[in-house]
Amino acid sequence: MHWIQALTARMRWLIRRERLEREMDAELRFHLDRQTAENIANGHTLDGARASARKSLGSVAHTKDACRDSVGLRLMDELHQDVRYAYRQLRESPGFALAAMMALALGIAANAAIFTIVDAVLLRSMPVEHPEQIVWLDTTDARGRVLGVSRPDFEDWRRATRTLSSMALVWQGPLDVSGDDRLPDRYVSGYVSPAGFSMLGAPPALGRGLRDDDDRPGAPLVAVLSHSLWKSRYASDPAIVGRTVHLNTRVTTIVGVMPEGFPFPLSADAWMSISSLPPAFLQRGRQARFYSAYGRLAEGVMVEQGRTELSTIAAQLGRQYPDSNKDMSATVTPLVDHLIGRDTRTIVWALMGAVAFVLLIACANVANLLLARAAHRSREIAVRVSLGATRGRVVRQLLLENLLLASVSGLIGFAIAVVAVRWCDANMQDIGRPSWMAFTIDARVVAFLVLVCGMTALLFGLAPALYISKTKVSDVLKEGGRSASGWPRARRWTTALVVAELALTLVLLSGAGFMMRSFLNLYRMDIGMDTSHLLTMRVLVPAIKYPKFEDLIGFIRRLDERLSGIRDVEAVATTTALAGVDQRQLSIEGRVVPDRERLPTVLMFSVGPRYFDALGVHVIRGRALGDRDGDPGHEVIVINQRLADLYFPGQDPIGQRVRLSDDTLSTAQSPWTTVVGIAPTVRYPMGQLTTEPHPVVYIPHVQNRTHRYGSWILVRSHADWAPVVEQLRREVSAMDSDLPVADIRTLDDVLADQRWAPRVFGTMFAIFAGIALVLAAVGLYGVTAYGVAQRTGEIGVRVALGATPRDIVWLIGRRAAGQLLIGLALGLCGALFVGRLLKTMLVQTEPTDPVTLTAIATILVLVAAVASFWPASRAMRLDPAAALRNE
Amino acid sequence: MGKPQDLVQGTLDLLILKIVSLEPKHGWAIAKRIQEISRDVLLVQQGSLYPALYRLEFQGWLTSEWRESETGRPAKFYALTRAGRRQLDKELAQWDRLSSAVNLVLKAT
Repeated sequence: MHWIQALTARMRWLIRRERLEREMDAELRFHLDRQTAENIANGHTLDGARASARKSLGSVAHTKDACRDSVGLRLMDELHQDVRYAYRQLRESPGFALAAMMALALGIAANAAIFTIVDAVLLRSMPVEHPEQIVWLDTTDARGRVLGVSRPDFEDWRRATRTLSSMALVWQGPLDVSGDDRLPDRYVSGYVSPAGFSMLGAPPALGRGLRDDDDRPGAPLVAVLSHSLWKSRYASDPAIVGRTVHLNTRVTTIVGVMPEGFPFPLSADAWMSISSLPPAFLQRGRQARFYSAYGRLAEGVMVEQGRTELSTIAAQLGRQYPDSNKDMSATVTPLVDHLIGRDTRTIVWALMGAVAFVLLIACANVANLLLARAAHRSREIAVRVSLGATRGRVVRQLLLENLLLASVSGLIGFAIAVVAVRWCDANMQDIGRPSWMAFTIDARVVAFLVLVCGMTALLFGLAPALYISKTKVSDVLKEGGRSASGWPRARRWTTALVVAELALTLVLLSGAGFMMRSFLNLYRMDIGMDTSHLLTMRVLVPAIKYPKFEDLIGFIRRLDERLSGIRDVEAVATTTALAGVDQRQLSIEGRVVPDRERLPTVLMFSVGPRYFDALGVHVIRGRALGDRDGDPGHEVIVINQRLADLYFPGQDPIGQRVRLSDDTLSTAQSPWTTVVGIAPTVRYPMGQLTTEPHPVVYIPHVQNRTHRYGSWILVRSHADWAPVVEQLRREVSAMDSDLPVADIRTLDDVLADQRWAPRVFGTMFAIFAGIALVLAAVGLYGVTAYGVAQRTGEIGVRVALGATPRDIVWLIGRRAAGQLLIGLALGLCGALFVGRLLKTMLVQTEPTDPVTLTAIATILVLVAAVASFWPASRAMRLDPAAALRNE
Repeated sequence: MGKPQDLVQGTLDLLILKIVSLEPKHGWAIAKRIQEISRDVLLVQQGSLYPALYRLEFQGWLTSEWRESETGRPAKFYALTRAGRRQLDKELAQWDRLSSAVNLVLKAT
């Protein structure tokens, strides 16, 4: 019979248990009565007939047992007994059960929680048809910088490609929504080729998605809303489809709403076809690489094939259009890799490794506790064996005990994990996590949890079970259970386990140490300025309203002037420094550089006249930028100390002339500018301090021809923020009532956010390492204390024979010290290895950092010393008379 | 008449299947019938009869039903299922082959 059938039949019997028993009784009684009647018919007396029938039938109990066995109930009965016995055993030593369960529950909870994150980040796929076929496309220059894609290039790629079945161009920009019954507000727009919609294969929640006709020139303007915009602005109004609103000041019909968490590669609040881009945003040149692009690989095409083909096409374009495309290459990245960086992967796997270590340590601990108990219980087990329990039954019973322990711990751990996951989900919201990535416990996580529980039971149960299965009944009984003869043998196991625990703990501690140290470095590191009392905000200047460069610059200049007049504000400055990084190639007048590729790269920020006042730094030499700087003929520049050190060593840069060029944008010559001042070195981007400070140039806005349509404002004030913000808003709306002020936050908050990852992951590592340390200490303590208890008699004899307390401490401590030394040696090797793995995530911390390693080792030694000295000192104070009586 | 023979495991199954193949019977009647037909040579002990019945039912070859017996008291009647019929044919064929083989050996010498 098929085993599933057998199992269901068995379960059926189990459920109908009572009926089975009743029927069995009735059936056997019927048999007996029938036999009795037969005997009477054959001439017996009533009593004689019954007795004879009974005799001929044999033991009813035995028959019933055999019947139960026939339907597989005996195994169930025995299992039931074993579980009850296991439960009683655990109840009898609540201390042990509690300690073991807490250790395991913590380990299991940590594993389940981290696996949930692994599952969400690395395993669960995007809700897209064949997400592995979606690839991200980009242009890279000869220096390997990623530039984005230009429209003509995109069209050429699309015409030439055979490996991509469809391709889409995207442009992400501001989205000003008005013309409905609410206040105008700014969101994020996604202009995309309709192919980009159908390619993903995600049906809209309402109405329709974008279609190819929407991309025709002259097609009516339509938009598809995101679920979040629909919910927040239109209260999930189902009648939204067909309504018209003003999007970026143009009348647009809403034709659909996408489902929640629509996995669009770029997040946006509304999507429109790319041909409906307002003319001011349209960039048609081959060098205007402002777009993003993605595509779907044709059936059966590998990413590598796509890569090869696109770089061939790009090389072709390079020959065809040397001005714009020389040395430009095209990259093809799987979407998942594009969205989830290599660092995130490393860190998530590192966390998974850390929690696995925690669980291993917990297992080692429980195994030790079990071993100690096993040595203790060998008498009980010997009695059971001699009373007729088979060895298999004994081992099965022990394994059940372990499984029970693991299951209960698993349940507790699951509860902890649910809370932890919820916390993670709530606290990791706005950190660039893709919208489709939810930290939720799904079937896979539960399956993992069950697997972990099973593995755990096996892991911590293995050593004790092996140990028990070798125990000789006669030996144990002969000794009368006074001392556990098995102890020396069990001790070999426990020694190995404690060494492993200590080594694993050291590895974990040092991993956490490296992370914490680099986190501290990150915080302690001098950005080069005082970040307190600084507020940042953003005014987005729509290109439609300020189409000409002069209009935009004029607006920004007025913004600088008006905001500076506000009371309680010490300094206000507009800047591009918070928006992102602009790079330029620096040439210095009078120096000959063989080819353009060799020009040094510097960061360029355009700033308002009071920028350094707002930063709170003083120009070291020369002067800051003034109101009139940047006018034609007065092109000036301020460089930072770092740039001066790098490119003007031993020279006075003031008065020198330099030129900034952008070899990705244009080959046209930009004007020479004069260095008028040297500013202190401030780190950019401010939050990411993983590298040496960059050389930076500051220019007036008017010299920044590529100024983007958003202006960041930096405000320094010691007053209360609320009234200041109120005044700032009022001033901005007085200048242009349509302009929203966005992203109002203190600089410290912005920096804290940027340092989110090392802070959270460092803390997680530290928590796990802390748990590991406690577990290891408890383990060492337990083993040493048990050793002392086992050797009470021996110690008594030694003291009676004149051993000094020091001898006794040495006797006990020797073993602990040996374990510690081996553990340290193994752990250090592991720590160096883990350090290498973590290298990419460390800030100014060497993965072999001796300070960290020494500190960690010292902590471990101290904790271990306390954990083992405690029981040793108890041994020292033993009263020899009492100890001997005990024997 | 010598001591009643102990039945080899498997042979009892065959006998039970054969007996109930004619009509549904309760446990005591099955034992009695085997004893009668074998002229008291085969005595089925209760201790082996009922476990065998339970096993055969568990394997799906027999079904059981409580109904009124010849004495008026309800008894558990066992009947052959279709799978049981197939099993009986299989075991009969096996038995024929085995006994004729044994006979051949015994007669030849």
